[in-house]
Amino acid sequence: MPSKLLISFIIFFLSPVTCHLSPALYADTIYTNDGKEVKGIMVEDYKDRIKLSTPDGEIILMKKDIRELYMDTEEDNLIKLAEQASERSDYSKAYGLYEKALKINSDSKRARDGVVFLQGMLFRKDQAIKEDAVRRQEELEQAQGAIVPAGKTEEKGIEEDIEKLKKTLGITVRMDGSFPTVGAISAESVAYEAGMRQGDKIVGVWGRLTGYLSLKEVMAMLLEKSSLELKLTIERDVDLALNPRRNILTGMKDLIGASLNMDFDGLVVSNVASPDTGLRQSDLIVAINGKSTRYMPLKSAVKAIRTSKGGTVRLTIRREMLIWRKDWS
Amino acid sequence: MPENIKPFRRKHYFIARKFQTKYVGLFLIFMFLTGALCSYIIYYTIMVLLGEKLANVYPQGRLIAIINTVNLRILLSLVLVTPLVVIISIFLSHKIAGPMFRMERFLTTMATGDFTQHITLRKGDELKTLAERINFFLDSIRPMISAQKSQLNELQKDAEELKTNAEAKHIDKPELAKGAEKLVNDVKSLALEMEKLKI
Repeated sequence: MPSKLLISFIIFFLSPVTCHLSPALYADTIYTNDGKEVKGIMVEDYKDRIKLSTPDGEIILMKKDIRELYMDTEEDNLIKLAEQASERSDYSKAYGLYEKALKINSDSKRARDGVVFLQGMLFRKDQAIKEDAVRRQEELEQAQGAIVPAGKTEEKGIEEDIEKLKKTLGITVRMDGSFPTVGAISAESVAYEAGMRQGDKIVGVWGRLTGYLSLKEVMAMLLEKSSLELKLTIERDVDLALNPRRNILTGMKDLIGASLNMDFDGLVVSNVASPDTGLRQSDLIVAINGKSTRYMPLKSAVKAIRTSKGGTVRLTIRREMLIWRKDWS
Repeated sequence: MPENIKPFRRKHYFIARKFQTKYVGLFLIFMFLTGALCSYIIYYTIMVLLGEKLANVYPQGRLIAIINTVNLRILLSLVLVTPLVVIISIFLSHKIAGPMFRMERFLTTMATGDFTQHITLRKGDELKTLAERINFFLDSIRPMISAQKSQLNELQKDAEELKTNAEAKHIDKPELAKGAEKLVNDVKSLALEMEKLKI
């Protein structure tokens, strides 16, 4: 074999290998308004703040103090830019950015949620503009008729939103700490059908966290008319009785009626034996007996459940649910 | 060296299948073992030096995803490199298998009594010293056999002549004795030549 051919073969085969293995070690980098550089991993992203995991522990940074934010992957950067564009109501740009992120990583849940959400949004954009114009006209007419104090208008607006929420989803929402919580729920509602229950915390809408938002903002997200469906993430405590005949060799499925896996998002439930356990396939376990599982290896999580006192274990789960609104006009 | 030697180019690289398959297999095993050992050393070092820090900063799910990605890339790299290793090992092994195949064929021809051939190997082939030794052996034995052959011819010729003379009625005794002596001398020379061979 001529040596030139051999060299060509070596270059052909080794180039993708070296490209794949080239070092790419970055962290999420934040530049604050006062010129500081903070590196870490962004673990929670709220409207007004972010939670960053650093070697010194988790820290919270307010977005108003952040000048620039660079995520460690291109995909995350694109999603971030798409979210910013979406906040500015530049939906076409946001859609394009989400699509780009989805091309880079077709498994990205956030990118897919963004695309689905904006598809509906762009589809009904014209309709929304018209409805907005009508609403503004009505508001203007009301304002001309009588002078209403600003606080009262807001109060009235929330009451209207509560009524709309009852009508479309069959739930009422109140603020409980930093997160909105389901107050009452009608047994015939679409939300109940989708698996929502009283006391559930609504921690995300279309993948975006709802923590630290005002009730009005949460209502606006829940009543968003972009699409017929609404993707929510709820958080709930599930108390499970441990199998009394457990021993050191008892598997997780025999112990709590489901298996556990470590996925990209964290500790995930799989192989659920029966829905009566209160667990569902793909439920994300965020805490075991109140202790966060974010930095907990699978082995430690299993141990924490196995050694739980009193024959029961409390799992805090996060579950995604798709609700199809009946009446969203 | 005979004059009818043709320069040759080897067209087939997979000559001795059994030998070369074994060679390729050994190469692949060596590569995978090296890959596994390197991965283990890298993982072990990273975990000892950074494990605790990484586990405290990275959420477990993401950390496991990173480790899975690294594992997948190592595996992918090995899979990508495998055809290259197979090609290289076939290329390298044919430098041994080629000469071996040629020598086997050469020795088979020699066993039939053909000593006119000469082993020629390509540039870069292995076992060149062995081929040179075989050629040297042939170069040494060829004049001996050639001499024996000519002495045998001489002997045959003299024996024929003696037979003819013996059959002729007019031949005298001294002439017959002279012919017999010539025959004895021929046999002696042949025996002397044969004595060079130790059997």
